[in-house]
Amino acid sequence: MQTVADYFDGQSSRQYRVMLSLNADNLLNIQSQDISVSFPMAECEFSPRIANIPREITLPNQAKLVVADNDFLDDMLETAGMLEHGFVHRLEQHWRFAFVSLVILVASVWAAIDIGIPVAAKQAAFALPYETDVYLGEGALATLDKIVFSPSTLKTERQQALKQRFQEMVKNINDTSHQYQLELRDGKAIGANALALPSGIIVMTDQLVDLSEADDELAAILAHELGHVKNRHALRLLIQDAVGGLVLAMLTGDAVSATALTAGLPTLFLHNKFSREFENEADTFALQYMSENDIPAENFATIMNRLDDTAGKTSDLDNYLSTHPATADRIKRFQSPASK
Amino acid sequence: MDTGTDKSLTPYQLDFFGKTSEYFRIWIVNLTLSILTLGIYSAWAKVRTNRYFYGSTQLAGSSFQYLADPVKILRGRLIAFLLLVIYLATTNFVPWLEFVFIIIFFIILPWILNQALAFRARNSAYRNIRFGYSATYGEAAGVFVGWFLLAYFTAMILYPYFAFKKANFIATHSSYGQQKFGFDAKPGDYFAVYALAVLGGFILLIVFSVLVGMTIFNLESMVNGEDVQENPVLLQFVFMGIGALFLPIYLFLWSYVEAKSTNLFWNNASSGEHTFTCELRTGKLFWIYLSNTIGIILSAGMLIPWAKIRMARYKLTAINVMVAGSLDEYIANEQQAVAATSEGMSDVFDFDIGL
Repeated sequence: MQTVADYFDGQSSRQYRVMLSLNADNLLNIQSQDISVSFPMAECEFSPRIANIPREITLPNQAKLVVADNDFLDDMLETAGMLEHGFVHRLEQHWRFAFVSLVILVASVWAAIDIGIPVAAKQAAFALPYETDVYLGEGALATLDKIVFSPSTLKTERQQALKQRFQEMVKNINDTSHQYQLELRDGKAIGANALALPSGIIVMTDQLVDLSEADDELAAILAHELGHVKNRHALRLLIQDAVGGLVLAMLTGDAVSATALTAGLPTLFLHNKFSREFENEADTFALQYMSENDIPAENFATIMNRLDDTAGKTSDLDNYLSTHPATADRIKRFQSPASK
Repeated sequence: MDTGTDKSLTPYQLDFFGKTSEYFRIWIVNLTLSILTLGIYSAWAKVRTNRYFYGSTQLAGSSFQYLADPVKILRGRLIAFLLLVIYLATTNFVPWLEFVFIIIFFIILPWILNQALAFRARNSAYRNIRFGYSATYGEAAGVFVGWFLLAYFTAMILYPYFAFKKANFIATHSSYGQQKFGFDAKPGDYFAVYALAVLGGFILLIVFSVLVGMTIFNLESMVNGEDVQENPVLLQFVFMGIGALFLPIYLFLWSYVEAKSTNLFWNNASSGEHTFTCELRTGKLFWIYLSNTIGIILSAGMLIPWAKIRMARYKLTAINVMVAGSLDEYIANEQQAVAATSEGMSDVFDFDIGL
């Protein structure tokens, strides 16, 4: 048994076409017009098999043999008792293993995104000092004041009353780590809205105050925002985005060098998924706060309904593109708290 | 066998034998093992992937070899990852450190690039002769820091000159065996490519803006009565449509610049008496990029192996080596070992050191 191979001496790029065979005492025989050498198999180094690409045999004299006939080489190695296909090659050889790999891959990525990363990020966030939250939100209000908001046009007494109500709520949530503070602003382009900065500053727009028909409705919104701050969602989202981005980068690799879109879309979807989960968590927090402090949960539902009417309709597509869960789903939780 | 005295040029096309069916399995196993080992295996995955692509590429009946040691790549990646974490952790809290990091980055950049290019070249071989790369810190700094900053501070007007300098630098500091590569493109060639790209981009953008303007105008009259600006869902779709249209324009310009500058590079490169030709076409490259992108998105990434194989096939088989006499006469060089630290670094920091 013999096969054709190419012999390269390592000194020059000259290609020698040779015949390769294995003789009885495990000697590798290399024969051509110019070359006639043999080496013990044990002293040769065989490159691992990958699919069907030509394999190299590094000879003791630093010359290399390139063999295209992989099956011949495998037979030869088996005869010499040296055949040891790596674990990886065996996995790559069969479609069923590829399929199993795919299932394991999807399951482990899903588990990482759905459980692993959020849990680890929570641990990491709460291991970091609370000053971190202050740093994160630093300057954010000043920037927002510059590019979005105008000073509130609400009467001073009204502002005072809202701030007082807010500070009472803060007392109830048992969190001395953050410096909570309510700020009122004219929302301009963003309209009726409320947002929480990680440091504990919560901004509510005049438009939202005007939209409300009872202060309990505003309390419901504020409870939701307090939930974001107390549970350190901003920091956790930052960590989750970073780690999630790393996982996605590993998955997409360099296949997408020219098209940032294919890399950017998954990152966006992932960010939105994490964000929606934090909205749900903040809703849960608000729901619990309201039941503990005797504020009817329906207040959240009514103001969300009214917000939704002013904001316009949403489509199914929004669910994937949105940082917030569908309003209808959120409202449902607050309409029938008894069934929870 | 060629006698070596006949110096007429014989074209040898690069052949590529990679198959999607094979690479898909290599890819999926690589990914799974990388994820399960929290990224450790990714160094072995890189070596296996490169071995597959190199081994599937043939010139005049001989394939290429990738010889890197995964342990070295892993070490490089770990160091780079550590630096990245330090950078992210500190700059988030002490913003002015960012400035210090940028300075440090520019200082070590030439060294990293030199090491990375050398690592890649010396671990690539053909016919048991390794490729090589060697340049001093100063030479690399002049091109990658000096000319880059000059291009940057002239509002990218000098960018084509930087592109020329970069190509020229990499070619003339690379070698196969003892034979250095030659390069004789002119800076003007690069200016021509980029000037046409900018002009074309400008015209496409104008046409595009007019179309978008007309669409929005028509939309408003279509939904008579209802103000489009007040309907966020409709507006969202309009903007998504605009975004979807913008992508092909960007891809087309990218394809144009890539096709033309790759062709320029190879058509002006030489190795001793051997020369190269490269005939990438903008339209074909654009089509591959576009269909790859759409395929990858629609298949949730499952078509990545297919996309990589067909891209590699097109780019590699576009290259011809014009062999003067025979390819038998290259002499091996004395080998020096290179650390893989910077190879790993370039992976993490995502440098574009390709040609």
